[in-house]
Amino acid sequence: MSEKSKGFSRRRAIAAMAGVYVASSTINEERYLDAAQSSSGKPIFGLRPFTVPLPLPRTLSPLAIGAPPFTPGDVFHGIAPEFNNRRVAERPDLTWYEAFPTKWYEMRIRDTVQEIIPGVRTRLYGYDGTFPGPTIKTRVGQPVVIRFRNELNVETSVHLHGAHSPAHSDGYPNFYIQPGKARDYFYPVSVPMFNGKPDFSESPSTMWYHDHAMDRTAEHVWRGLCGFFIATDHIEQELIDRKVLPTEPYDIPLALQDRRFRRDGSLFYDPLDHNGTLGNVWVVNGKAQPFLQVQRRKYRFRILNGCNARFLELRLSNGQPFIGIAKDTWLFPSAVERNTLLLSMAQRADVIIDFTNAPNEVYLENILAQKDGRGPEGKLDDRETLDAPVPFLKFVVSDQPVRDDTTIKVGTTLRPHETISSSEITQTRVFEFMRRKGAWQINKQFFDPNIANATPTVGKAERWVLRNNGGGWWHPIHIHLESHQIETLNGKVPDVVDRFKNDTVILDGNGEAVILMRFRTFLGPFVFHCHNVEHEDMRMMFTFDPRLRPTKAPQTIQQSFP
Amino acid sequence: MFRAILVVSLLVIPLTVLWASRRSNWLAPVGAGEASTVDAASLVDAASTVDASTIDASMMTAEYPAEVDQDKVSDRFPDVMLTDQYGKSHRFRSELIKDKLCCITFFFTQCNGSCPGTIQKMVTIRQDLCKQFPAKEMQFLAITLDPESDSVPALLEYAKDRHIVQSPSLANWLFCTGEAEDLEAIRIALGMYELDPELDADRTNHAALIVFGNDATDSWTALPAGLKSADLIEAFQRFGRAK
Repeated sequence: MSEKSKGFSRRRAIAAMAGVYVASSTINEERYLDAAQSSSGKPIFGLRPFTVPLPLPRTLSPLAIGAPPFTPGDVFHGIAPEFNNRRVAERPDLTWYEAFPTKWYEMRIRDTVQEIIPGVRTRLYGYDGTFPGPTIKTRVGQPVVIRFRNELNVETSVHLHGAHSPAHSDGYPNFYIQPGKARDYFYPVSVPMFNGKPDFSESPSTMWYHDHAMDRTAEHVWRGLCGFFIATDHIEQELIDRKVLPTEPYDIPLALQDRRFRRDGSLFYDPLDHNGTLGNVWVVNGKAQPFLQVQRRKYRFRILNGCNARFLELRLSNGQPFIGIAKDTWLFPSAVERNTLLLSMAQRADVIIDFTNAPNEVYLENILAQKDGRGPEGKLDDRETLDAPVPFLKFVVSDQPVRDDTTIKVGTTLRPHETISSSEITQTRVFEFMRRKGAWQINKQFFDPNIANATPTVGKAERWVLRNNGGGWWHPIHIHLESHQIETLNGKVPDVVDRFKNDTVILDGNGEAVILMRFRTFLGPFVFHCHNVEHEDMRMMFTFDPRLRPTKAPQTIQQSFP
Repeated sequence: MFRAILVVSLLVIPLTVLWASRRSNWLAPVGAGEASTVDAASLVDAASTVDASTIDASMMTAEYPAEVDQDKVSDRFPDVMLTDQYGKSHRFRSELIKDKLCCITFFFTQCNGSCPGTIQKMVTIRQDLCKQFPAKEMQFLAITLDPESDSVPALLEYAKDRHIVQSPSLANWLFCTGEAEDLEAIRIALGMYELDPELDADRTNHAALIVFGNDATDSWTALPAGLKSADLIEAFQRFGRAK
C-alpha cells in the first residue's frame, strides 16, 4: 500500500467533499461548525472555531546549567542510580553519549484552570500549571534533570515518550510520585553506543512527556498532563544551520487532542468506559480550533496525536501534500512526500508545510472515520473517511510575500539509519493482544507491575511478533526505552514512513507487526502497552526487563523504585 | 446551578473576550526564557481579519449533549429498584451508592466460570478494606446477570453457602436482583458490556470486573477480577482515599 493511495482509498466519501475544496479557496466556515457540534446540533458553548490564536507552550527555563541548584536525589523518591554510576555494573561498554553540562529544571504538577473553549473556564491538571505543559528543549548529549513535585492529591508518574531513560525515571506505572512528594527524573537525552561509537541514528527529536500512573493514566492525560520535550543533535543542528530545515519561530509543535465537556464547563470523563474515550471538541495546544497566522514560506510542524483513543488521519484542506521529515522521535534518512498523516494515539509526524503558493486559508483536518474506542472504520490499508472532515487548525496565510531560504524538499538527505539485520536476532517472542471478559490482556495475562514478562539480554537484538487477536479492536502498541524497526506489517514490508524507527506501531483489527529491537542502554523494568490509554489502564500492558545475563521469563522485576 | 453559571458567563464573556484579545499569548514564554522561544502573538498579524470579538455571548444558551449533563460519575447510574437476598428493596443510586465506598460486581449463581473466583476475591477484599475504611461507609454489591433463575431465596442460599453474612465489623454486602431491564441499565452504566451485541448477549463471556468507587469523592475505577487480591486491595485503597 503506498502512502499516496492510502488516504483516499474510500473515494466515495471524499468525492462528496471535493466540490467544496476545489471550487473555492474561501471555505464556508459555517459548514465547519458542524464538526464542533453537540449531538443536539448546536455548537458546544457557542464555540466559534478559528477565532482565537494558536497558543504555543512556553519553553521552560532551566534553574541552572552545569552545577546543580539542588542536591540531586534529595527528595522522597530520589534519583536514578545511573545518575551517579554512569556505567552499568560489570559492563563498561554499556555507556551512553554525553557532551554538554546537565540542565536542571523543576516542575510542579498541579491543579489549574484554563479556557480550552473561549469564555469557558475548565479545571485541569497541568505540568507547571499549564495544558499542555511547558516545552523542554535541549541538545542530544545534554542531560536533563527535572525535579517533578506532585501537588495533586493523587499519585502521578511521568513518562518521557520516545526517550532512552533509566527505569527509575521512565514513568513505570507504580514508580509513583506520591501526593506532596517529589522525584528527580534523570533524562540522559542520549543515544546508545553501537560498535563502540554513539549511534546517532537513534537521536531523539520530538518527544512528549505525559502521565503514566497505574490505573489513572487515561484520566490524567485527558485532564491535561502532557507536554513537549524537544532535542536536537549535531546532525539536525547542522541541517538547521545550513538552512535546510526551518527553525524557530517557524518550528512549531502541535498537540492535537479531542475533549468532551460537561454543562458546567468541566471536562467530561467516564472512568468506567474502558472502550476508549472520544471527545467532540477539537483541541490544539490546549485551545479549541484555533488559528495560526503564517507567512508565505516553509514551516516545520511537530504534530502529536495526544488523544486518548482517537486515531487521526490528517490532510491539508487545499490538497497540498506534506513533506515528511520524521516519524515518532526519529528523522527519516531523507524527506518523503506524504498526502495524509495517519497517526495513532501517541505517534508524532514531523512535517514541513510550504505556504508559499497556498490559498489564504488552509485547514489542517482529520478525515478518519471512527465511532468508538474500537478504532477507525475499515482496515489499516482500507480506511473509511469522514463525509465532513474535522478541522483542528486554520492557517491564515499572509498576503505579503517573504524571502524563504530554507531548502528542504522531498528527497533531501537528513541523516543515516542503522538497520537491525535478522542475523543479529538472538531471540523471538510472541505477544498476543486480546480482549477477555471486559478487560484487556497480553498473552492471556493482565499487567502485573511486579512481573517481568520478558527479560531480553542487554547487548542483544530480538524479534517480537505483536499479534492482535482483538476481534476488530485496533491497538497502537508503544514500547518504551528502545526504538523498534518494523520487519513486516500485516505480512508486508511496511510503508516508507514506517520503515525506519518507531516507538508505537498500529495493530488493526487482526493486525500483526513483526518488529526488531536492540537492547543496549539501561536495565529494566520498562513497559510496553496499548496506547489507547483506557485499554492500558485496563491492564493491556506488559513489562520487559533488560538484564545483563540471559534469563528465562517470567521473573520478578530486577529493580524497584517506589 | 446551570442558570447561575449562564448568568455569570454572560457577564464574564465581554471581559473574557477583552482579556483573550490582550492575552492571546497566555501560554507564551514568561520571564527570561531561552532566546529560542516562540511567541505566538508575534506570529499573529495585527491586520488579521479574524476578530476574537465575534464570539457571540447569546450562543451560550446552546443545548448540550445529554450524556454530559451531570456532575458526578454516579449521576449517570440509574436509580432503579433492586431487591436483596433478604427480600428488601433499595434504590440503586440514591440508597446504595450515594456517598458510599462501593465495591460492585455482576454475577449469576449458576456461573461456573469466573463468578466463584470473583466473589471469593470480594470476600478477601471486604475483610481487608474494612480494616482501612469504616465498615458502615462501605457497600458491597453482587448483582445478578440472570434474574430469571436467581430468585431471592437462591441469592440468600448462594451467600450463605459462601459464609457471606452481615456483621457490624464488615461492609454490608447485598446480592441483588430486579427487573431485567433495570439490571441491564446498571450493567451498561458500570461499563460491564461488550460493544459487539453478539458477544454482549453471550452470558458465558460476561465481564469479570469489580467496580470500585468512593462516591463522596467521585473517585471510581474498575479492574479485572482476575488480578490478585492484594493488587485489587492496593488499587482500591488508592481510589478510596483519593481526591
